[in-house]
Amino acid sequence: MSFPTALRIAAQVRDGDVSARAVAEQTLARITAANPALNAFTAVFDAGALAAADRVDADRAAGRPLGPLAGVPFAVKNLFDVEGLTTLAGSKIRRGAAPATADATLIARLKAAGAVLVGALNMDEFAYGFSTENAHDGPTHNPHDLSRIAGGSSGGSAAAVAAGLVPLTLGSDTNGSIRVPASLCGVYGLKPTLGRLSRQGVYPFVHSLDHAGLFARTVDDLAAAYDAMQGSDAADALCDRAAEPVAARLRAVADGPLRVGVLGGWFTQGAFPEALAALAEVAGALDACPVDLPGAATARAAAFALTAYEGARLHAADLRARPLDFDPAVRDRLLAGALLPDAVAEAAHRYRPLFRDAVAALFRDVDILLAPATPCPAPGIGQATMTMGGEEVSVRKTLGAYTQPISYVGLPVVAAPLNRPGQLPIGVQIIAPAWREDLALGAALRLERAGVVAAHPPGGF
Amino acid sequence: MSSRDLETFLATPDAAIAAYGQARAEAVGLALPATVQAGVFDNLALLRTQTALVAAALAAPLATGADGGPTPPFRP
Repeated sequence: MSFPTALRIAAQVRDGDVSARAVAEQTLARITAANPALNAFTAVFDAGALAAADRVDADRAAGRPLGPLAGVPFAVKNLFDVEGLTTLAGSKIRRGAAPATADATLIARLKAAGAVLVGALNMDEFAYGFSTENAHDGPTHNPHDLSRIAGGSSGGSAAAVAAGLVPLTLGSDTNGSIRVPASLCGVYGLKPTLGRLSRQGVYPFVHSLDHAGLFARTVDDLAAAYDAMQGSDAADALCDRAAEPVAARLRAVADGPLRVGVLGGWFTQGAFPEALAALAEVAGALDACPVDLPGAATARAAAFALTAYEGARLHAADLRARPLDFDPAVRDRLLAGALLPDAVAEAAHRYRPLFRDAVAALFRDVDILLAPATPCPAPGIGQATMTMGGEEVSVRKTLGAYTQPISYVGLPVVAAPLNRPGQLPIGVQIIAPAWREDLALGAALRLERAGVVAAHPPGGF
Repeated sequence: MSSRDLETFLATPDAAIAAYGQARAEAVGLALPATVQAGVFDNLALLRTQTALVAAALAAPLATGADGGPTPPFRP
């Protein structure tokens, strides 16, 4: 079986083949049935979703124009502000915070396109992790194997899409928090260029590195939702660029010439055979040539240190007042970050333009770079360590080893799932130059049409 | 904060990372509960290793630039 895509749902609603209310009711029923096993949702907005769906149906009945995502259910990582609800950001500490007074910009834009918000999704506390084994809300289970992690920190967002509960979710990516769970759950993830999508109303983690992005099961859905959310936002100083819609020209990009490089060195060091095989298959399909990116290990190290430093400063008051209320896995890392001298952050910032320019030099010869999204398929829930390159390393800290250098310099990436039905998913990063999301999405579409990448429904859902 | 602070941090051996961490906690007014200290210091040691990579790559700029004013805003 296959799950309906966002664009298919929107077309059916627009054509009157199905009502938005019926779609919402089916979605809510699927969540009720599946979420106890998955633990992807931390809140479900039954009444609000049905009311929003009724408004779409009323607009259609009245002959008013419908948005491009009319009636499409979506859900958001629980660090997005939802009007009237407390923004948890996966924490215990924020459970007593005042409710948000307005929706985050990206939620408002999806709603304006007709999409229907149905719930909020599990995550690593304060987005600091790659596993979504949340000490307060419990772990999110991977729909392809419930004994395994979904990845993180946007694990609920990836699992909800993978299990077919919704066709579209929002997440955030500071060091890999969209690309890692997309890889482990077998769905598409888009982390746009830093500053492309507004972060207004998204609970921050590391201001210098935070991106907002999305998950879907097809490239067309990813592009349509991305287009609906683009555009400058005065409430986010980084988001000052006019919208550059991609969906209408995606086929032309996919059919056009693409020069592709496949990253070696750091980006294959310690990778499991599944990750290397996925990379080789995608590289072969795109006639990629090997390229090396000097400085990737340093970029990852800089992102690692900057994350601890900035994250700790953001949470300084709570680290002083109530450190034991943090998720233990997050607390120890934040407290260590609080002890770092300021010069650590200065160094991490100073290396950033150097690495950006090194990547830009590669993009003089290629349009796209490929790298594994994760070193391995999903580890087990509760698995603390894994062996990488002969060394025992922390799962939580290492799953983003190949994603961190790329987000450090803010490049757009599509994480695309290799087409391997019946096996644990694994994804590949399709990396484009800054502001060229169209190239990453076009390459992903070419691969999807060739059957090289695909999001498969897991058994049992 | 100066490049001397960075040099001190990077020069701290594993055996002294706990003492360094305690001193830093006092300096920044942070009380570290006894039950979390081992985990915190493990993470601090890892951060020192990562920072050393960055510092090595920036050896020349750091010598002249760590105290040289704010880094300009980054654009991708």
